[in-house]
Amino acid sequence: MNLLLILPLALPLGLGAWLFARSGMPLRQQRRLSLMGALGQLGAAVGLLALSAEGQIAATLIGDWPVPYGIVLAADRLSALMLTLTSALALAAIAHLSLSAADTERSGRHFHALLQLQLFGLAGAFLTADLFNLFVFFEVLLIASYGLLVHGGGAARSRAALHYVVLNMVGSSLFLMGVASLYAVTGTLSLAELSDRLPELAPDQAPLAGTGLLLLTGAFALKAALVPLHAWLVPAYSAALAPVAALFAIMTKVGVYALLRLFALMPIGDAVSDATLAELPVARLPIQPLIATGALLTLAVGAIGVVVAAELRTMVAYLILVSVGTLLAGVAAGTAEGIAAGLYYLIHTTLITAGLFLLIDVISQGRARGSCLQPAQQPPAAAWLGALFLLGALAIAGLPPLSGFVGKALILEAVQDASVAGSEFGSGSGSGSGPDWMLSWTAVLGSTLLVVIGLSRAGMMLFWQGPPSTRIASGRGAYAPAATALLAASPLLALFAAPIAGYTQSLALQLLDGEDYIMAIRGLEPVDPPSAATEGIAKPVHGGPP
Amino acid sequence: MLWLFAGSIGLLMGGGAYLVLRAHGFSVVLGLMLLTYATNLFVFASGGLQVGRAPVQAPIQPPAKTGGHAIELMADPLPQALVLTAIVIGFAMTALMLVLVLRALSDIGSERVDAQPMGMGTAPSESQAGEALSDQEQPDAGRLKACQSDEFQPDECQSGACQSGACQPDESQLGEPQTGEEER
Repeated sequence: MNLLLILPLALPLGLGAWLFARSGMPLRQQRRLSLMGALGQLGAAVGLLALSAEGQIAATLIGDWPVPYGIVLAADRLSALMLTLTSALALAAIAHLSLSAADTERSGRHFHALLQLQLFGLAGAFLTADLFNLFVFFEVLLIASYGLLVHGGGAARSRAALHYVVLNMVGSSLFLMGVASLYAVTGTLSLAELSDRLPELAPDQAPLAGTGLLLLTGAFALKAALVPLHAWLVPAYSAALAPVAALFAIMTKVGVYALLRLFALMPIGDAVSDATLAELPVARLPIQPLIATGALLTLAVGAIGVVVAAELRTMVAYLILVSVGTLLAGVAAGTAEGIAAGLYYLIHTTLITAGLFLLIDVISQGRARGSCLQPAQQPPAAAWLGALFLLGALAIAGLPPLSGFVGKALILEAVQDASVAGSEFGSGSGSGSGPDWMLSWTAVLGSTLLVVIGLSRAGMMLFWQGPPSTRIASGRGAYAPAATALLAASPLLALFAAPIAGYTQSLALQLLDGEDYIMAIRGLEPVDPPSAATEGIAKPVHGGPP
Repeated sequence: MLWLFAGSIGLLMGGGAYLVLRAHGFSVVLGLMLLTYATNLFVFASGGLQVGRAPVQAPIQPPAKTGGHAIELMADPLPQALVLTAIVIGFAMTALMLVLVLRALSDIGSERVDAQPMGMGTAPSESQAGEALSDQEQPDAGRLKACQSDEFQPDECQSGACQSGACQPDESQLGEPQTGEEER
C-alpha cells in the first residue's frame, strides 16, 4: 500500500463527505478545512513528483486483488505532474475565496464539499491505471463540476450548466462505448495490458478496436474542448464563479491527459517509422491528423474569440481554447519532442489562465462595469493590478521573456522537426497526412498576434481609459494575492525552463516507451494472495459507487 | 439473437440521438436516458453474447484475450460489473439532469434547452442574463437591489451578479456589448 497514492484520493473524499455531513459549519472553518485538504493533496503530489523524477513509478493495488483483475493506482511522471498542477490550482482557488471581500461561495452551502469531491475526481482520473476507472472518475469530477458551475444561481449559469451536462453526458456514452469495444477485442481494461495487446491484434479484430479508439478520441476531444467539440466551454467558463473557473482550467487538461494516455496505447510518431509497426491496423487510424487539424481550428476559433470578446471572462475562456489548440498542436506531432513541448506549455497555460481568471475577478469587482469591456473608472489599486494584467497578458500571449514564449518556441520547433523527419523517412500513413509545419506555424503565430491585439485592447480599456478610481483599495484580496502567486509562475517557468523542459522530455519518453509503466503494474504482488476457493466469488474489478 | 441485440441497440441509440437533438428539456432527458440504455446494452454485449452459461462459477477461468468464445464454463462477469456501475452512474446523472432542467425552467422561463433568458432580444449576451432573475430565484435579491441603486458598491454586490451586468440596469442601452459569440 503506497500511502502517497492513497492520500490524494482519500483525503478529498473523506473531507468532502465530512463537509457534506456538517454543512452547518461556519464558512471560515469550511475554508480552513478545504485549504488543509488541498495542502495535503499538494504534499502527496509533490512526493509523487519527487519519486517519479527519479524514474520510479509508484503503483498500488486497491483491495489487494492480483494484477490483471485488481484496481491499480499508478503514478508515472505524467500523472504526478497533472496531480501537482491540480492541487496547486485548488490551493490558489481556495486562497482566493478566503481572501476576497465578497463571500462568493455563501449562496450555497455545499461549495467546499463539492470542491473537495471535484479534487477527488481529478486525482482519481490522473492516478488510475484502468480505462473503466478513468470513466468512473470522469463522471465523479463531472458531477462535482456541474454542482460548482451552477453555484451562485442565475439564468446564465443554469443555461450554461444545462448545455455542459447534456454534451458531457453524450460524451460519456461515447466514452463507455469505446471502452466496451476495446474490452470486446482485448479482454482487458488495464492501460498496461491494453498497450501490450493492441499491437498484437488479428486483422479481423482491428475494425472494432479502431472504432473503440476513435470513440475514445472523440470523447476525450470533447473534454479537451477541441473544435468542433468546444461549444460548451466558453459559456460555462464565463458563467462560473472566478475560483471555479480557475479550477476548471485543469478540466480541459484532463481531456488532453486522456488523449496522451490514448497515444501511449498506440504505436505513433517515432514508432510508426518502424516498418513492422506501421503495418499494424491500429497504426493506420487517422487519430493524429484528426487532432492536428482540430488543434489548428481550435487556434483559429479561440483567437478570433479573444479579439471579439465583449467581456473579460469570455476573453479568458477563449484564451483557454487558444491554449488547448497550441498545446495539442505540439502533442499531435506525435514525437517525444512534441509531447514534451506541449506538456511544458500545459504547465504554463494552466497556471496562467487560472491566474487570469482570479485576477479579472478582482479587477471587475472594483469596476462599475464589472467584467464588461467598456470604458469605466479604473479599478482601485490599478497600478498593481495593471502590472499583473500586463504580466499575465505577456505570458499567455507568448511574448518573450516569459514562459509562454519558451513553450511556443519549443512547440514550433518540435512541429517542424516532426514534419521534416516524417517527409524524409517517408513515414507510415499515420503521421505524414496531417497539416504540415507551415500551416501549424501560421496558426500558432497568427493566433499569437490576435491574442496580443485582443489583450492590448482589453488592457487599455481597463487601465488607461476612464478616470482613476476614488475608492481606496480595501480588503485583503484587493491586491489579488492568489492571482499573483499563479502569475508569478510564469517568470519562474521561464527562468527554470531547462530543468522543466528536461523533465517533460523524460516524461514524454517514458510515456511513449510504456515499458516501465507495464513493468511497474505487472510487478505488483498482493499482500495477501487470495486462495483459489475465494477467487471466483466476487471480483471487485470496478471502482464505482455500489 | 445477435441481429436482434444489435438492432435494439441501434434503435435505442437512434431514438436517443433524435430526442436529444429536439432540444426540449424533457425530450433531452428522455433522449439521454435512451442513449444510456443503448450504451449499457453495448457494454453488456462486449463480453460476448452467451446463452445458458453460469453467471458466476468457481474456480474462475481467466478471461481469454479474444472475446468470449474461449471461456467454456461461464459468462464473462466483468461486463456485468461494468454495466452495474454504468447503470448507477446513469441513474444519478438522469436525476441530476432532471434537477438542472427544472432549475433552468424556473430561471430562464422556458423548457427549451436553447432558450434565451427572459426578456432578451435575438442576440443577448451573458452579460445581460442576470437581469432576467426573478427575486425569489436569486438567493441574495436584497443585495442585488442595493447594487441597482445609483451608488455602485461592489463589495455589497455578489460578484457573480455584478459581473453579469445586473448592477448596471442601463447596460443594454449602452452600445452593443453583445456579439453573440457564445453561439458559435
